[in-house]
Amino acid sequence: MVEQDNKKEFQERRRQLLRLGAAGVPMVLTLKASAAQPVHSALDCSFVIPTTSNILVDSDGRAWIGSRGVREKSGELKVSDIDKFRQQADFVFPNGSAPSKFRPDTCDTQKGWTTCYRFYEIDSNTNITPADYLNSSGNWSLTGAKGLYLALASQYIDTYGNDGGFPGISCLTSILTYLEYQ
Amino acid sequence: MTVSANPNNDHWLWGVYTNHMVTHSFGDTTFVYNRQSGTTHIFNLVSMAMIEFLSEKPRSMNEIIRDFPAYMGVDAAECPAGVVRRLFGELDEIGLLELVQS
Repeated sequence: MVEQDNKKEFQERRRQLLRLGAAGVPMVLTLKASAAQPVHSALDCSFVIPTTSNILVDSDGRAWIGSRGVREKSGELKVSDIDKFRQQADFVFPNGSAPSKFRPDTCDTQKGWTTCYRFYEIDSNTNITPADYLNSSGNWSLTGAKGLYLALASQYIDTYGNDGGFPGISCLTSILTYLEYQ
Repeated sequence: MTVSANPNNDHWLWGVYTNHMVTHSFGDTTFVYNRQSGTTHIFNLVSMAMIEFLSEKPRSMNEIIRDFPAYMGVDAAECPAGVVRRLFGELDEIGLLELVQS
């Protein structure tokens, strides 16, 4: 019995690590004498998303980033494509990560099609300049697929900091740090 | 997104340079010294599971993506391809993966 509990606990710890891995946190750390991470200093920095980075969002604000496509017909998404997208995702973000305006308004599933998710597409080599999404009073005004990407990237920074291979992080960090000290 | 350090053909089989590794475990954490590079790395339960998985027998990238979730005892959605590819890339980058057959 005790052994079974231990096994369950062990499995849960591995699951927790997998969730961190899904958000891009490294699973291997290397001991180094010094590990200085270059950080952009320019506030007008921009970054390129190298590969297709589509984003799937559910009604709880969970988000998946991946390169697969999801078929859409009259505002409904194909359920089998969604399952594959989730399984093949590069990054997964927990409940509440996507702001409410990016979430689906309704949730209904019929005959293999659903309205319970929204799908945003970002092509490879898309350039994002975070400062474009700051309004004149210095507040974020995030719209469209790129705005959602920035919202997720800033969630990522809040949780994991400037590490882990999420494109654009160091550029965005420099802006967020600047805003924080204004 | 950079997810793998190397290109991969499906017939390429990957294993682990177990002879290069000296390991010491403390609870869930394992310190791995790579004799070849002279560098020490810290592994967690997931990265160690991948080492054990690839030590069993060499596997192709597709097999790794397909079978690692079951090896971990979780659904594919809990261990999506991106996690597996990144983990593979991390192990490759520190020189612990061996291309057994190409």
